[in-house]
Amino acid sequence: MVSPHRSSDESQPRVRHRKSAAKLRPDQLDALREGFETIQALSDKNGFAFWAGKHGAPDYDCEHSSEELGYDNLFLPWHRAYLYQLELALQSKVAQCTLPWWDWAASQGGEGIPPAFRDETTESGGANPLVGFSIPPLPGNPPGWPTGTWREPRDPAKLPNQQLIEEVIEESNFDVFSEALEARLHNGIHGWVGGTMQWQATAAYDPIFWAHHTMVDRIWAIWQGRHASYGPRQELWGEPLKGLGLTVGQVLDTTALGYDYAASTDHRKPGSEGE
Amino acid sequence: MIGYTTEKPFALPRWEGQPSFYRAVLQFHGVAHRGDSYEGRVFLATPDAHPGTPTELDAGYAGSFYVFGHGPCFGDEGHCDVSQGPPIHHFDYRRPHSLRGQRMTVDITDALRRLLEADASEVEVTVVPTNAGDEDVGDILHFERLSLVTYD
Repeated sequence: MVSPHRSSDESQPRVRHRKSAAKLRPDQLDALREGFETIQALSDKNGFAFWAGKHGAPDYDCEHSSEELGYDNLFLPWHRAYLYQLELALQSKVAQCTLPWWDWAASQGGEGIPPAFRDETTESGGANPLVGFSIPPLPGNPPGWPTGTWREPRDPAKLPNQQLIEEVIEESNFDVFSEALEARLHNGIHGWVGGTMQWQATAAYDPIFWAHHTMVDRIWAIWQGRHASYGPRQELWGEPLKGLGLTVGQVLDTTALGYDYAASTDHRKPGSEGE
Repeated sequence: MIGYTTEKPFALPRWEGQPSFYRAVLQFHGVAHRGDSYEGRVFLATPDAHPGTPTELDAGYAGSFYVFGHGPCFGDEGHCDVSQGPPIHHFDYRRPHSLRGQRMTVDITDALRRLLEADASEVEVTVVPTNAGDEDVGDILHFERLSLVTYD
């Protein structure tokens, strides 16, 4: 596998953990909010709108399943690279940011969208940047283009349960697994959230999109560990991922991209209160 | 709601003296995904199914597929037109248009076994398009072909 570029001064690169959105420590949640708030204010290629516009309008670079003969499904590699790029944009402003994952199955028994992405205000009374985004106008001002994200979440009981997720992970054939993860789990969540999340053109402008897709990516990472396989066939590894500057081969190993998945983290150094 | 029921029922896969299938799926080919996201609820032998029909085996429910819709077209004229032909020349390496039809697979093993145990010889498939709020989503369900596939 081809490794992504690494800076030469990192003799011991540190792998960061992506954590459950429901299990972030207050300081971790504060960092995430600060990161989103900062890049949401940017209008250049480091900004949230730039990256959101790659998935849907105006760029439409995203990959989802297709029946086209001769083309493999790049749904999982493309979205892994996409998350990686937004996480870098966040970390360039707030170093300790990592993207959290939305545990749909835990939400199925209770509250739906995690409070971190649902509460209108933060604990200190400020506006929560994770509940939505004011979408900038598109060139040409197409009719109907929304000025902001909105959601219409349904009954949390209709979210996928752990049994369904396990059924999908148990599928040993990667192509079948990928199609099931996309169509049985991922697609339904977009519809469940509703509003601008239910349209490919606008979904990525909603911050919950990123927690949703981090969960999708986590399920792929679990599948890779359980089946001792990267997934995509080797002939695909040189395939470029549209608009993201990476190939399939560069996104197969999460640790080569600098992250891994954990439920929660808490670190201690001698003489300090934590990280 | 504009749903779909097979005009000609599928013959149930039954061969005397042969092992029964361990898995049965319906494959929907060329599923359109141009508008809103929706759920396609699949019912067997229940042609009057509607968005309020319980999603339980006893009510004929077999499973669902979920479509992530493209949403309204925010591009210029022709942006959402899908070319039906091959690449424009030999050196056209672009990926296919994102609005090409998708394949959706629904595992109907339990529901189909239930019909076999009731000695049915054929089955009608009904698809009810709806959303997570059990609402009528209108004329949104479009696909090219439906296949019943069993594995033994």
